[in-house]
Amino acid sequence: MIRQFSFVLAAVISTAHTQGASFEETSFGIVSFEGDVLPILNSYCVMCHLPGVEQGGLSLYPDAWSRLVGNPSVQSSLLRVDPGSPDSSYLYLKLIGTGESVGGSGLQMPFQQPSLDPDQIETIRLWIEQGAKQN
Amino acid sequence: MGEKHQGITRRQILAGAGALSVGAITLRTSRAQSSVKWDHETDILVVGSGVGGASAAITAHENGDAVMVLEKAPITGGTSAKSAGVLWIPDNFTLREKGIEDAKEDCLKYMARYSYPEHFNPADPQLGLAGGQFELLEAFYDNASKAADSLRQSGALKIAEWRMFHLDRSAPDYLDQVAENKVPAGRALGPLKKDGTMGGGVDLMMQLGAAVKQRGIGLLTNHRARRLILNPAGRAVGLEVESGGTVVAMRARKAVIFASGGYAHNPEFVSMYQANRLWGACAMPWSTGDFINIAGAAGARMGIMSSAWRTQILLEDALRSSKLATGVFFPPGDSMILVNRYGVRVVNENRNYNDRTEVHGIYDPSRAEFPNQLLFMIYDQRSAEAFAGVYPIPTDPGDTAHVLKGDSLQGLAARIDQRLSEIAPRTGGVSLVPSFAGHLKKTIDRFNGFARSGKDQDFQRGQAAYDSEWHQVFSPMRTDSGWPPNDGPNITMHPIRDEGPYYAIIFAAGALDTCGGPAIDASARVLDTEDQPIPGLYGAGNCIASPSGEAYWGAGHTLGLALTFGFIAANAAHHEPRNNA
Repeated sequence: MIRQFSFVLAAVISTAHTQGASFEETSFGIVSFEGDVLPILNSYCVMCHLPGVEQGGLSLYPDAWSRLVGNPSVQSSLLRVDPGSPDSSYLYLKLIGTGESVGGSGLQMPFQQPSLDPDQIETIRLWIEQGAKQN
Repeated sequence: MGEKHQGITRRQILAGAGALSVGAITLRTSRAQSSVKWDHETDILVVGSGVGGASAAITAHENGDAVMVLEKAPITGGTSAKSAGVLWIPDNFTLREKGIEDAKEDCLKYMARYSYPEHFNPADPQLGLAGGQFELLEAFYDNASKAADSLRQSGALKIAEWRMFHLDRSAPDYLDQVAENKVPAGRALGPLKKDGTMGGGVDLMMQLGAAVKQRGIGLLTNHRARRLILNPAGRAVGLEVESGGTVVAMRARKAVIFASGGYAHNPEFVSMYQANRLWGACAMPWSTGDFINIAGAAGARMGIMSSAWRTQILLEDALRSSKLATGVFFPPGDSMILVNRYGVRVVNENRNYNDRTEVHGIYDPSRAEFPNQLLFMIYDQRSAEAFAGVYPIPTDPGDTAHVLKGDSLQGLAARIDQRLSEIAPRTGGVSLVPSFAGHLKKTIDRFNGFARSGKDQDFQRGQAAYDSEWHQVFSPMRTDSGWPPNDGPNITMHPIRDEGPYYAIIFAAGALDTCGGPAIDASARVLDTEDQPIPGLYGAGNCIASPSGEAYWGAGHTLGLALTFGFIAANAAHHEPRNNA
């Protein structure tokens, strides 16, 4: 027996998807955290950086921005994201594979997956360079 | 992230569900009462959004069934998204395009020989296997390429032969060297990225996730299946689902398909069902074996429970957390060996991760111990520098968090024993025997002879195509280290230097995920204690008893099985009558 408002719910959730957390294709253009950076993190990074699975002491869920920006990395003396300065941001250096050159450890991210595409890495670099805003 | 749904917010859903749950929350058993008030209904409910769940959901949709996918985690993709994204598919389209026949009779012999060597009988019509075991292998062979082709043809998957990166060769199976394997390479498929290059697990799940979305299939994260709802006839007709503290009743008019992962992160289940200590796993943290109790409450019988997709892991990582980013799929280096606490080699270091890890579980009844509980990867300065940066050898060959260093074999033994002493309360007191360094010297001398002759007379390292070809993939030698390339007769072995320093990394037994649980039949129907299908209940992937037993047939084995049995389940469920809830 179905209550009438169940049909309403059914109609809505029959097309419901999570956004951001699902494996959707990233979009490009204006560099924004929500629109450009977060989908990359959610697709390629979050599965190893979750509460209880904080590799490198980093959890990217539920609030990736505040865990990244201005926060010190645990594997180096650098900030995870140093607004305006990609080359001193440990996140960026780990993605291009030079984390150990700045006193970090471990290997290039994503771990044991193909590296990010150059345009994805460039998206993150530009976002940091533009101030790593929570936009 | 995970809070916002397309069209509505998760908060809005739960706000609605909170009101709706008043009737449903009264359910206390898996038996439906006439008073059940359904909060949502669909034809097929799929639990889990990894490759098994995605395959089932997309297939069901292609069949014209209405589908809803429930995911306990805040993100989709499951452990499949952490994998390499490879699918082991016999008789696949790339083999056919190349004119390679992967005949059913031969492939079944390979699978049966590898999965059940203790029963294998090629002269028997069922190859010596029990009926259910044989039928599962047969179902896999009969449906694997159909599943891949169906998903390709529907546009859900863009896949190609998975080739070995820079080697650009077909991938050898994990037991390529046996006579029963007539197609020892080329059964692995992988996802293509937009630019046509080969992708990984993220790319595979991105493709399938996009296909789910494009079809308008409902997918809810942060929704945990709590229990099955059965009608008075014992048919699975729905699920109790919890999200954010609210419980709703979801009706499945045809079937419920579970593809919800193994139990690697349920310490109680691991302790109960794994025969040997499992120190950690790479599975997503939500792999807690929920289906075992859910199906058990519905009368399911369990199949094999002790199986897991095994890999060695770094003990130091596991001591920090049993939830791991990765395992040691291939110990890198050529002047490298694995030894136990006696300083003795116990395994071909280049065997595949699943089989190699089994050696940790060997019990010595004379000494009443597991002599290989921990193994020590020993290597010299050559491997430390020539393979620097190849996990788990660090770029800087120093005494880092997981690397122990000694200037001599005696010094290395002392360093290992010091560390073992520090962690003894957590390892059952594993220590090196006093004669470890002396034994290790003899072991190295013997190994060096094998390296010079090219023949490992103890464990045949480098003899199978798997060993040497995957060595080149997983253990690439740096060109900038100054060490000469291995020009010996066996590329997987090089003499270990007579002088230090020497290094050690401690390995323990781990897993990608477990693969034990309720038994299914060849239609992926979950069986009850009378070996009869529980109507309307299906299983695929790591949440059910592995259709391959303990064997790992080749790269992509786990995902190939999950994809195929998800496909089988959806097709069988399509023919279920619409139930009377």
